[in-house]
Amino acid sequence: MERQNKEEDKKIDIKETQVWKAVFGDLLFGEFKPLSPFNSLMRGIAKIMQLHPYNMSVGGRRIITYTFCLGGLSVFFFSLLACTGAFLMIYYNPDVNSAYANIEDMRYIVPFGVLIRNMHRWTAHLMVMFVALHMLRVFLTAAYKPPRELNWIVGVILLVMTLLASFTGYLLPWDQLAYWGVTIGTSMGENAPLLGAKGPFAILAPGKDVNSILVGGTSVGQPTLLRFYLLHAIAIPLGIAGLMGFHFWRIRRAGGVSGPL
Amino acid sequence: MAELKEKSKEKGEVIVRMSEKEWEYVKNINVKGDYKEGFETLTPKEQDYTVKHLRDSVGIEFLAGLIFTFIIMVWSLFMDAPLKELANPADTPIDERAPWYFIGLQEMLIFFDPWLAGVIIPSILLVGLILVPFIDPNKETGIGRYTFRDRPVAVSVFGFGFAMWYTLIIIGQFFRGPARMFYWPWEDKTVLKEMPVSEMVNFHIAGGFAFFILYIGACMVLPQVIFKNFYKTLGVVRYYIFMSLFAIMLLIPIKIFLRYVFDVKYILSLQIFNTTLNF
Repeated sequence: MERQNKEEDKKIDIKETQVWKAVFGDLLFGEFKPLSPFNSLMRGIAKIMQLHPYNMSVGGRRIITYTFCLGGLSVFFFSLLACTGAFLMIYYNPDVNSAYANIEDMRYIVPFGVLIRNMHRWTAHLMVMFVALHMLRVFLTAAYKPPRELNWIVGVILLVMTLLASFTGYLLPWDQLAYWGVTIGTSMGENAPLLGAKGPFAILAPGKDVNSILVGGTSVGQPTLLRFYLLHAIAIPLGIAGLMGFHFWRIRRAGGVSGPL
Repeated sequence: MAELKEKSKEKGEVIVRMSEKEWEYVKNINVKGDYKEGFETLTPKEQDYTVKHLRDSVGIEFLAGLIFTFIIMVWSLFMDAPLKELANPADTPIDERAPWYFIGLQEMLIFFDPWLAGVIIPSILLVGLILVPFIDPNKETGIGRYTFRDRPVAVSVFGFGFAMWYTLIIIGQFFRGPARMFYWPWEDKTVLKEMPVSEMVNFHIAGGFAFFILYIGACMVLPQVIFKNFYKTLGVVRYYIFMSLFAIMLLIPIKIFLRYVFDVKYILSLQIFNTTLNF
């Protein structure tokens, strides 16, 4: 009997492991009560709209201090970047022959162009800083602990996407700063082991390696500018927005930003 | 401190002990049951004393947004975003630098080969970050508050990594001049410094192997022997994952130290088939 019991103990139920619970716990086996489709839709909309709980316990209210604003401010910077970026898109053409002239037009001709461009640039810096500080806050207040592990992972992906968004935008003015900054950045991909043309154990030829997917050739040029523009203006913002929605939904699902609220 | 004192199951009542000041704050605002819910509330059942968070907090958040809009507007009015001359692939600037958030990687390029500095080390750091919730054996302590005493290892290791990353960024951004040479703030960055004369040396291959075996062995065994409690709470798998990530992180300052003090170029230089792997 005892031996049997021990063997049963040794069997690991995959649905009981921390990784499974973190990823699928709430999604598949959460405490959803069966509802009519209409009601569940309305409730879903209500939950999406409800970024904040309507009420908060006194204990929960007390833990919300200034540093808990860092994530919210990152979202605010993101929306500010989306607004100013949309404005900049009107005057910008991702073409190596006209990109630099477009930026100069923004500086000297377009009304308020210089202000909007400056705001876009400085807000991007602030967003990168605040996302990193937000991560520090989350770590120091142990907000990655169950049931918020998946949200921590999503947060790390959001941090990487923020860096990439900022980095792809760096090339768009097509000045010396942009060109050489991006050349350094993308040359890292060239040196990847196996998949980069210059890295150890390279199996792919230059122009066909992992770096050329990003750069669109062997060096930074017109294809790079177009790719970075599409990534910067469409792909990454959409990805960030989608993941952010998931991030917030998970916060509410877990019952608050850190402790129970 | 408002804390749950007693709960009678029959009536579903909850008694919360709180200071007089808290009571003054709470009693006039909201006690659950006196308001009508607009949405399903997610408040845990034990904590029945609630405040109208939506009303209280959104105003503050709006204010924070306004303040930062103002700061950014003023900043943008008085400081122009940088724009240099038109990109010229034929003209490499002497002081080429990555954007500041990647300058830590560029800083590591001085000490490591590109495939390590640009690809392997950042990937390991990212994997380490993703694994954080699963490595931490303590699932309950310190949630929702800043505490060092309750989880000293977690906070100090993460704090060390975070501080190292930003130290690299600050050095790369403010202390590097032309040709990535080190410049003190009072030195003129337009003057090109002479390259140091001393030649860098590699460890002998046996020494390199010995270094890595000793280093990894020390990292794996020493904490296990010295901090037995730490090893027990982590468990075998977590312990080895954590220690290998920690050893890799610690290797960055060690390499920087060896480079500056002993002019070591590579600790270990391996020739495998046609490829040279330098560590």
